[in-house]
Amino acid sequence: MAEPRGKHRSRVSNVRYHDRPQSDLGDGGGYQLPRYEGGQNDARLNYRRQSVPARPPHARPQRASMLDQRPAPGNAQEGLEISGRAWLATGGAASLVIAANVLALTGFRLLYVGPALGFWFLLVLPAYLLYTTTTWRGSPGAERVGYSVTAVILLLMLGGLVMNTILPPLGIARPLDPVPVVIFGDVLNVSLYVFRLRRRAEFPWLDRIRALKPSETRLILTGLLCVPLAVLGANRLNNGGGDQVALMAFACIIVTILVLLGRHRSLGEGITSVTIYFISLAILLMTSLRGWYVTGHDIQSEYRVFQLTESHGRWISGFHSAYNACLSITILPTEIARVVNVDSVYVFRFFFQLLFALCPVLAYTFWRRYASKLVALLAVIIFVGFPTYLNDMPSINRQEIAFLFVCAAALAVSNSRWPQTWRRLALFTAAIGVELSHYSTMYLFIGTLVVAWALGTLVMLRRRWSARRERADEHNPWTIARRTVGLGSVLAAISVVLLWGGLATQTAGALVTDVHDAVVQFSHPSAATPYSLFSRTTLSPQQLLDNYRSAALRQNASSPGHEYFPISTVTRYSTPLDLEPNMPLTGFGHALSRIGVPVTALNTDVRQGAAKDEQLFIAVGFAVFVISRRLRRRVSHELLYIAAASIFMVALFTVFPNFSADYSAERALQEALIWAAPVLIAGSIAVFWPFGNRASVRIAVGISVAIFISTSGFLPQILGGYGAQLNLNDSGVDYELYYMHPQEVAAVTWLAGKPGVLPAGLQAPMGPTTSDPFAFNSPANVSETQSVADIYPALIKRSSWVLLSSAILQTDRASLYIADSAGQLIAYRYPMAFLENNKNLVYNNGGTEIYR
Amino acid sequence: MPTRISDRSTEHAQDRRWWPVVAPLAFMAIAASLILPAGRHQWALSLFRQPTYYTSLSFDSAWSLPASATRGAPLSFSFSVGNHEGRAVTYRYLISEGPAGKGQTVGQSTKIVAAGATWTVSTTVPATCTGSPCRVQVSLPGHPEMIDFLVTLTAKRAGHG
Repeated sequence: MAEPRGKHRSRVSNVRYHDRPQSDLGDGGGYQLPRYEGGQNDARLNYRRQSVPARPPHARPQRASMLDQRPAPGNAQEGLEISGRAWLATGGAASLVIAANVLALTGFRLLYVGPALGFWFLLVLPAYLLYTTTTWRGSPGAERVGYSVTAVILLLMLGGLVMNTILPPLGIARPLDPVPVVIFGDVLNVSLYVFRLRRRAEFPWLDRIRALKPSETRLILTGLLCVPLAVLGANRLNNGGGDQVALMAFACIIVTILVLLGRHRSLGEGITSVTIYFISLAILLMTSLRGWYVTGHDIQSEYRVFQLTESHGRWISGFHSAYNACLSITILPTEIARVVNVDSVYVFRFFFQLLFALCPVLAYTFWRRYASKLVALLAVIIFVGFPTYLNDMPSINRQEIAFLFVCAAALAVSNSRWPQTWRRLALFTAAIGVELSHYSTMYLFIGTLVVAWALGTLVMLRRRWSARRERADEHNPWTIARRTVGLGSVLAAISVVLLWGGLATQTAGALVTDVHDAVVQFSHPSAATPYSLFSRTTLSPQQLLDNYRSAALRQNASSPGHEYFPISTVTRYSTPLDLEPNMPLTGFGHALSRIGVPVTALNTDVRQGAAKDEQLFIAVGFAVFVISRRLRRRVSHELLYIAAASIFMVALFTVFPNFSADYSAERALQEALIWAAPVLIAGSIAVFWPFGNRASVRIAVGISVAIFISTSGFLPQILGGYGAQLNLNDSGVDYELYYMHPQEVAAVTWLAGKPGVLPAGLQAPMGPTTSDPFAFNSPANVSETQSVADIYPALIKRSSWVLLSSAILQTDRASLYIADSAGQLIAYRYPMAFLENNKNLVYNNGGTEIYR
Repeated sequence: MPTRISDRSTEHAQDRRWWPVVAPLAFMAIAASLILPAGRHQWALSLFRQPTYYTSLSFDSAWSLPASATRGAPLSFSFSVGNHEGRAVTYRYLISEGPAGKGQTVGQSTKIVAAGATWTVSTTVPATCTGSPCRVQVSLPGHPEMIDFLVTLTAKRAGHG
């Protein structure tokens, strides 16, 4: 069992690093680290004992990797070879750095090679240099990757911020132009190289690749194959070629997942992590690469502030916009854009996805701290199959970066190899990264920490009161992590928000407003705020549309002069509710339908069942942890409190609808899953416990895979009878709202030169054809008044320009975003005759029409 | 670790049995698909961005189109036809007045427009509608694009002199 703490530490302080569990690619095997003297070796030993079930010595080779057979380092001949190889590598790297410098500074576009080289120069090389140091003190490979990448991202954001602050007074007006960014990249790489010389650790990764078994190579290649299939599938859809390749990509992903699950016992952590990365990346690219322009919801505004920074060569700190306050979508993409030399949209659509695909890997590594490999893998499947991950995350780039820091924080908090000071410092650093990346993620992060701290304090006080401290906790291997989230850590994180969101960017006011509104809504629930803890009534889409129509007519009537068309004119045109149609049944769906399977109901039930099951599993999972002392011993109380706190924060979103309107409960749940996904899986196993241990696990595996197949869109796609998803179709709600066609770009370009378009002269359906592409031309124009009004007939102004997108022209269907109702979307049939009879049709290219 | 080495050798041996068959088959399938034009097109759909072809039709001074006129008086305006069809196209425009589809043609012309070029037309037509407001429509027969504007017509005043 675990070693006692305190004075008995010295008994185990001679535990050596290679006593840790060995695994394959990148798990830290052979990591030559000077012995760290401190109170962590006991925890390290505990980690080993906790993570690797005791087995007879002769059994180990069957599960260990071939890597264990490599010769021990230290041979003089080998040392010389390594030295020669190191020089060769250094020379090669230096040459590549020079090439990256030249390409970035000249702006020369070298197809594929140039962007890859630029990305390697600014992110991969610095991360690799950090990765191969002793900085991370014996952490496993994937964890070191996480720390290194997030550290580099933070350095890039902070470095960019410093340049943005100090260079203009020195006469450099554009501190984020290629020259300063490239010089910064060089300084960063050289600094890390020098740092690495002092604290170098050897990682024989080439040997590890050579030692891969054919079955492991096949698994990695299968995972890797998903990525090009995802890219080609998205391209094919963009060209109107159909969903065949995208479906092949999904099939490949599902096969890879099944192989991962089937062979998980024999796979090393490194192989598993690499495969998870490829799966995660493929899923992201299937959505992010849809369309040839910026596709998605928040990414429109993100791209706007990115372009604002890039076009001016500096971050405009005076523009107090919540989006502009996120350095992850202003300074960071600008720096990347300077060195990769591709169309700016691909910085978000491709390079950010390369980074964010690490998130499931880091979460998996975190979950492995307290869950078995199978449970952690199932948690990954739930995490990447969650609709928000599939459909939304590629549109929320600031949150993608913030999630990486949340994962780094989770890894740091639970890192029993680090002393408490390190953990707290890492948590604080990660909190800075979260805050600089995305304000809302930070609020949720802090809320989680505060609730977890309060929960821990309450439990501690109760125990003191009842004087029933569990002796077992003294033996808890994770007890050492318990003190990480203390009052000091929480206050330090809050101070980051106050300094950055409050003082520096003045964007934290929205949080205060939201909290105030939430309190008001909680105490005075109304029809406009349909959800509350005590009133679960929700308005139907028809009621929401009626309310919107009434409000629009009131606004029309109260407007002075002849700004709008008369109500007598407007009311002649009806706007009936028009629900998004389901996809038609496929051949397979028809076949099932003929034998009596209600396909549409099946799809709906599976989706709704998945959502309800996940809620049930989470509840059962926590109940199991509360009841089962054995499970509690595997997880530190602190982690359990944080997981519970994260779910509590999600629950707040269902109670207070204004939070959902601003952020969405699904995004909150995606963040909460980083902490609590294994609890969900534990719940899914526990629910079927009466069927026996083995059967319950198998059922849980089946349910997780089934949920993935359904929520990913694969099942509805091969059956039909459900709403179309953007990653597999050229139709559906997201396609109609966010997909931008070349004709729309042409129309917007034509309109940009016309007088009176902004600030309030443009009306367009909600979506990418709004004014975002030309919302600003100079810093003087940047303001929050550059809104685009809706095209609801009662709100059409006589003198405004009205832009109708391809989707509305093809379907006659327009959408409304009801912010007061938890951000609900409703669709209605648009009365085209209203515009035809009352405005001039001044532009028409077959795909877009503009009225004046 | 003899067991592991043995396992590995076995796996390599299995691979050696399969790859010589699978690899040439895959290569031949890809080669065959590239030989056929339809196959090449399918590859192109997945690999490269395909151009979107369209025609644009717009009023040049869309913000200052005539809003009112005297019946029978000349109406001056200009419009542009943009050829984004990827090839030269012979465009013919019709200007009509009156209800959509039932208007009276008051002007027309034909021109070959090169790919990527724009044909700008400045024209003056008489306001001949019987009703008011009068819809003045520009259409391109053979193409779905059309544009229009509404003019409120007033009766011609009698002269004072």
